[in-house]
Amino acid sequence: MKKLITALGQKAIASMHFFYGYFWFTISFFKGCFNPHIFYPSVQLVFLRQIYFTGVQILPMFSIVSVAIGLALVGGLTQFMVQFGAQDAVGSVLVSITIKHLAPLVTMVLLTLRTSTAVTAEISLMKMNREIETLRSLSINPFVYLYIPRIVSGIVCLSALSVIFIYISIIGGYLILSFNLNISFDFLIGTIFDAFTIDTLLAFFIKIALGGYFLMSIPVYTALETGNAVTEIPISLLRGMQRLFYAIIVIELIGTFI
Amino acid sequence: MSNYLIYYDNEDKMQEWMSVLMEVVKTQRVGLVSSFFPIIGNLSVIENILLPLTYHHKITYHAALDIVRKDMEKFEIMDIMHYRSNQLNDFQKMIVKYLQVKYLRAEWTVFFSPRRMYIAEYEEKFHQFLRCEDLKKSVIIDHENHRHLFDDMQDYTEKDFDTWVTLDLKISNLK
Repeated sequence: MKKLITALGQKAIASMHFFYGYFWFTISFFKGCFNPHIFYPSVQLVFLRQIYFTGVQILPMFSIVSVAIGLALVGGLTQFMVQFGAQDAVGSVLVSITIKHLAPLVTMVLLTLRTSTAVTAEISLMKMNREIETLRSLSINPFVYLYIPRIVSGIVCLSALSVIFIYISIIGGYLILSFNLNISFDFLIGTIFDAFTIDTLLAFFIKIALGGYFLMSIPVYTALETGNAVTEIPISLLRGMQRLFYAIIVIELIGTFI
Repeated sequence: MSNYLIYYDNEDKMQEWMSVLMEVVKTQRVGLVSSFFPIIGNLSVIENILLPLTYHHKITYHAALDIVRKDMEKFEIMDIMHYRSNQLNDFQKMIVKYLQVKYLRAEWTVFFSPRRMYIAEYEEKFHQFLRCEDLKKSVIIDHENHRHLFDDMQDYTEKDFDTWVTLDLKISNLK
């Protein structure tokens, strides 16, 4: 019993420590956004590179996943609803599932697997090799040069890829199954727009903004907790991904209540 | 010219001085050339050199390249400008570090434990480098055991660390 209480206490303290540190990290992020160096060439280059690594290199794999999900969900679901004469409800179901839930979730999961892991490993290594100290010794603010371009690129790429996901899954899903569906594309798009509300848009943007921020900030913050041993890098990676998946669950819960 | 030699006698003192200098760089442009601050591994040689220049000044990559080209030719690193740090030898790494500090436009250039940055075969090259570079304000901080390596440095005078920090860097509250 004593051991259980001790373990619970340790977990609680560790969690509080994380939330306290992450809160101040977030404050520093917002402060850093007003730093004039953000518009200087070196920071812009980091931002553009990160956009390329996060949003462009993933496109082929992302398109295939979007078409596959579009085929399985949009096509399948539409076909199923048409069969049961519920074609009028197709729009609201697609808006609720694809735009509100699936697009941010699938994009976040794919970016977590591909980019967040890489960012955790990269920043952990930089911390271990004292390269972050090198930046400080050159009067370069690591927040401005390293963290902010990555976090902002996470938000930009998550937004862009989620919109691409919606287009590819709806159009791809419809086109592939069009020979089997008894509804026109005009009708499908029309019902989707009819079902579109401000709440949907709000839920989408809140999830994108929070998701994009967590997607990069949690790996960066976790990487900064890494010690000086190489063996701590996989531990950081594991811890970062765990935290990120909890964050994704929280975002999904928030999205459900909007 | 203000060029000084400062010696420490134990590792604790070295760590203490390093901490003092890390506090100093928050408020003053003091360039630290040391193995404690390696060059950035995921940037190429040219990106490392241009980093302080393009971070502190609103200058394009090509304009910055024109500024540093002469030095890169002088130190014969034009051919390796796209190499990463793991492809460089110790002396080349030191030169890249020095050029970073030079283009930081730091008032003082501090070579902190230079002997830790390269193997013995580069000793003469380092001395040649110090003789050829026109350093107005520089400090070499090294272990007392390496005192003999700097015996022939006519331009450098020995000084106490606290005196240098207090009088030259104008820092009064040493931690």
